[in-house]
Amino acid sequence: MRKIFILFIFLAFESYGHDRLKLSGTVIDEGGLPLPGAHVFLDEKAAVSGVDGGFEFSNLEPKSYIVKCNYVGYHPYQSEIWIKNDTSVSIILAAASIRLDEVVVTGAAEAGAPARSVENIGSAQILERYSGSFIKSVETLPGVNSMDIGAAMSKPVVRGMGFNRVAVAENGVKQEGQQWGADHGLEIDPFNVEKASIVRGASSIEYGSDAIGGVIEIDNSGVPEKNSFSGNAAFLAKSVNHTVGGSLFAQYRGDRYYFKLRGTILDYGDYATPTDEIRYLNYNIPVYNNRLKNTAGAEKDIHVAGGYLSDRFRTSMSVSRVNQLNGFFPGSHGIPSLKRVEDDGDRRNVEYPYQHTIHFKAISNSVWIAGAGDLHLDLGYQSNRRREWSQFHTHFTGQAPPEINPGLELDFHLRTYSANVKYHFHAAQHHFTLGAQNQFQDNDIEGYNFFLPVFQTASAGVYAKDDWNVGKKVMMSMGLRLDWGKSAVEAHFDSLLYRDLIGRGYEQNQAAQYAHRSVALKKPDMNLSWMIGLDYEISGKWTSRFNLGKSFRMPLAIELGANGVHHGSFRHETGDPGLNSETGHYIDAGLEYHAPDFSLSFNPYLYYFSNYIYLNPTGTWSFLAHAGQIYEYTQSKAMLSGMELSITNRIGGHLKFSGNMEYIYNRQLSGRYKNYPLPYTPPLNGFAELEYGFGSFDKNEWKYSLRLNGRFAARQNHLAINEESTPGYDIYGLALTGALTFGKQSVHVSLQGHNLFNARYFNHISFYRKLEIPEPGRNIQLLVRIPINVRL
Amino acid sequence: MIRNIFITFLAAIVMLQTGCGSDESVDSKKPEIEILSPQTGAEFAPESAIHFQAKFSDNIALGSYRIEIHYNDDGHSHGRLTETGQPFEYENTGSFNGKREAEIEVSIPISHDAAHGEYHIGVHCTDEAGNENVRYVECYIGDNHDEK
Repeated sequence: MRKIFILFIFLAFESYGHDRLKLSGTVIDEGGLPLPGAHVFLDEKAAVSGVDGGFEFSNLEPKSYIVKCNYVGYHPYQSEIWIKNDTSVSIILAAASIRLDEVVVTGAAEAGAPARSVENIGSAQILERYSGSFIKSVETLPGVNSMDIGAAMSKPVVRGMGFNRVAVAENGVKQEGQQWGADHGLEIDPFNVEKASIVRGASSIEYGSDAIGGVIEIDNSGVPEKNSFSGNAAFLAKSVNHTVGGSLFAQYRGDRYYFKLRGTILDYGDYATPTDEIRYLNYNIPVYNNRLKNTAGAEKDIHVAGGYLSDRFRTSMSVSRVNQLNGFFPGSHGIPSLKRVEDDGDRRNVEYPYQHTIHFKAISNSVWIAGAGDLHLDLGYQSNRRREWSQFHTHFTGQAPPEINPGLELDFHLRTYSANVKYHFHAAQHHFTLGAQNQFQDNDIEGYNFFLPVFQTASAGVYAKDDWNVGKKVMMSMGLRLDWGKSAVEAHFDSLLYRDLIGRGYEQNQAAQYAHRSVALKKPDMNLSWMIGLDYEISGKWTSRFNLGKSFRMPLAIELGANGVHHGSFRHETGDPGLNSETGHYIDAGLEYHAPDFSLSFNPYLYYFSNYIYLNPTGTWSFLAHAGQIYEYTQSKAMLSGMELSITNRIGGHLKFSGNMEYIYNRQLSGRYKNYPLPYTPPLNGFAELEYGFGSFDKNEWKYSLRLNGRFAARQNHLAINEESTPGYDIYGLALTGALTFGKQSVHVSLQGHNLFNARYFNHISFYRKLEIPEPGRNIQLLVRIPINVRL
Repeated sequence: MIRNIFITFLAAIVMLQTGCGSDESVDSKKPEIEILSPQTGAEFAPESAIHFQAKFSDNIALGSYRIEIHYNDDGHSHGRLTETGQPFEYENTGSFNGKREAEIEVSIPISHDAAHGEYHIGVHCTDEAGNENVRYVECYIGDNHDEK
């Protein structure tokens, strides 16, 4: 549904005898914040909005023009304007968000942003959809799934691709942690996301490696209004795991300088799940009191930002620290022991085993408006420290627990340095982007267990893009990128394991093969990516998109050089230093229909991977205790296809129905497992919601809204080797939201229930799926947000 | 027009939800393992023998097996080995040669200086396609370790 809001401010002043007129204006979003870099077209003329959102066309004849404005992540804007005098306008762009608004514009065309499938979501919607983490907020969007570890940590999967095949970027800088791990959760404060764009489909031109499935672009670089002080306080409570927490935010701007500060604290206990026992490895493991022991945790986040704006320059610096502590169910580490899952009487304590991650980020963003273009420079430093603590255990003779930190099993410290530069400029109907990106990573390890080696990676990419406004109904995009990359992995010889195996009677070369936990290697790589996209407006109501391209992903240190038992997957996994970059060619399309009360969107896609990397069993037994077959990272040909469908319909004045569904079909095309599906594929799933708005209607929003929704998934029977079939489910929720006013102060209240019928259901791609641990049970949550605005 | 699209949409959801059967063309069924002896919690004295017996079956063809016994340090002694003896280890792998059913019966002698404590017997099995299954049995060498 489109909302196009036109606000014209006519400054009528006399122009004596002038034929040549001027049109100037600003491009802003619904919150009044300027949108720099928006493409504005006046018939065939083009301009780009500056840092303050301003643009100008001069030398105009007095006649009527078609004004169009495009900005990635917002609905395209089009209108007719009659220039009789020098005119000033405000173009207010509406974010294409899941909270669809209702104002209709007739005859508006979809002149289209870059031809990909994008969903935009603002902070209000992220918090309203909150159910444990930022990714859970966007899980109901078609094409997006959440890979969960318990009730408070998740990582994204876009179009069935997750782990390192989805890039997450904050303010233009790619977030780097240990996202290859199934028990890793995305380290993002959900309260600290002002807006997010979920791009479905490869975005390698802008991001290089890792953006094969899509990109989640998080933005919190908004600028406060001049001479203002504002903030908000949010409080959250959840029943399913007794979460208590909140977030405080304050921002200030004088004339040119501004500051922002946010702190978030969340504390939660063991989560409730509707089962008395789980069955794993033929053990019946009791779940006492329907609560999963030791899944409690806490999160403490802080974010500080400051910036400076002038007419042609803007710079900001943002520093954040996300601190997440998350307990693991004791049965998920090693062989289940009935004693360890006994209720210890405290549902909030976090004992061994648990994980603790601290993600520190410092990002600098600068923009210069120069002539016909603008130059962006983004610099970033990230430090991701991830530690797993568990009771010391070993199967080797002679390995005593370390004297310092005897419980520190794994300790990964990844430092990432990024520098990105890009220059936009327009010429005639073209809007060009030239860019270069650099990233350097350094990984150190500690802990009594070895899994991930010490490594460094360096990568650099250069790219060029053209968005071409071909005509009234057609827009084309083209992009080309070249990437260089190099990985250096340090060798690690496990002498304890070597002595243990020799002692058990193995040959020297056999023992050495196991003891070489990682092998020194230096691997250079070069990759070319390209894309061609087309947006075509078929008629006033129908629009279409096509997209074709080539995308890639560099292999990770873990894929090149792992060798050991991964307790998280209970398998002996080995890497292959001979792996090449993963490459895929894709085609994706979109068809949309927009009418005043009804809209529909259909997005099919197809990927062909000449090289897809994932773990496959080798058929050879491991010698290590508890280990079965050795799994090796293998590359093979694969096909991945699917589609997303979404519908919105307004019924009468108060009711709105929205629904979406996605389906993924994939196949391995070569190798030992030809014709098997790919692992971790989400089943057919969908989301439907009926919303009833009531109370007063203001600024295209109801004061109060009642929502009834359902999420459903089909049984997943299309399994890679050694995956478990997961039954389907349907779970229901209810939400009541409203803005209460106390004098001049408004308070937003959101009372929600998730999984109202306390259904016992499983998420096929969840970390705890292997242990047959169901998803959390019924949850009632209350979120209160109090905005504070002070005009100075 | 709107209502028709609705109905089609919901019908599509219902159809796709119920219509997906399993992949007939690939083997996704794991082999079955049944451990007849020893039972969980069995105790053995050093220098005695464990009578191991298990049955294996698969819907298409069995692949290979691995029987392993290892000392399980459950943390009570905080990583220190017990003063008495060496942890007992056992490893036995072999192939089923494509049979659909098989039985394995072996007598496993325990070393005379085997450390006392809890041990895991792990029985792993694959079928020819690579589907894998495992069963564990806890047993004790020496006196039954008092867990509390």
